[in-house]
Amino acid sequence: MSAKVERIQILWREPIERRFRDSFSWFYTFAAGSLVVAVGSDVQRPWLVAALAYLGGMGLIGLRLFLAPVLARLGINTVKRCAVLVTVSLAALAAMGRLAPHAWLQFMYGIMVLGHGVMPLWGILLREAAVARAAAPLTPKLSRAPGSGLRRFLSLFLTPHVIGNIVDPVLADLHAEWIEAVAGGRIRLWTIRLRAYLFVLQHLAYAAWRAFKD
Amino acid sequence: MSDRECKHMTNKLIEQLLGAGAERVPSLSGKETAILQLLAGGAEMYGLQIVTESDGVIGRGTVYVTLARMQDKGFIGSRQEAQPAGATGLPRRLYRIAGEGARVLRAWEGAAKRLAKVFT
Repeated sequence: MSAKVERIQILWREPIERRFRDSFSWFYTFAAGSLVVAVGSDVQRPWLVAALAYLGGMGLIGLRLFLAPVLARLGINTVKRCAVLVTVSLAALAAMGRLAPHAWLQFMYGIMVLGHGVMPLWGILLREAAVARAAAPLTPKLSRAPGSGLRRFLSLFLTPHVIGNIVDPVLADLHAEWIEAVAGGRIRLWTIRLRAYLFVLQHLAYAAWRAFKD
Repeated sequence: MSDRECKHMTNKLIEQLLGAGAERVPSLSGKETAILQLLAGGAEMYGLQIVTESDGVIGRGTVYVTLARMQDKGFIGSRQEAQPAGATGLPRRLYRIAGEGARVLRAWEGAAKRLAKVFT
């Protein structure tokens, strides 16, 4: 196995320190979003809404911080789910009339604009720590391999025999192709994932047809 | 001659070509024959490798169903490849021909040769 491929396999492992650093970035983005709501909102108690949004966001970040190893083992990407939960809850508040319709838009806008402004600052402040971290050996932390979500979903209703003999080999091919593509500098990796998903579906359809024919 | 009669006569002819009184030989589809021929050398192959080397006979969307069915019939065996320490992702599966598969392939190839002699 080439050194480049080995390095790419290491990229699938995320050091725990990076998760913590990302979480602190989110700390500032939620703070920034809450400030925008407080300043720009026309609700009765804008500070209360801002504080609730902030605490809600921080609660989710806290969950991510302390449950990160457990959630990572379960293959749950907490950043995406945090973002979705906050957006949906704010949209629900707006729909119930508890929040002005444009307030949650302001919140998201604040996250995007101010959050992106804060992250580079955070990077500059922690530059020395980042250099030291890069020099230190990586803490093994498995992140999700492509196709693992589909495998978990299919294993809910397919037998272990089908998973082991049909789904797993297709996903193993996907992983091999993925590593080769990254090593070759390919950017559009989603096409590989999409093709693999279609092959899984095609296999399942073919298996069903064969079973029906027999 | 109707299709049914034609099929019956073909089966009779194949039975004669395989040898009267011989042990019953299971049927082989075109894809199964192609896979067994690829594995007949004794080498172990990945599913994707089989697809590549079959020159379009076996599709990438059906190869593992065919391989799983052949494995259930005892024509081929498989094992998971050994992964290097620290490697991530699922290990690939290596397929090899089994004794039953080699026997069936020999029987059908012999029948095909005898059939060719009949027509030449």
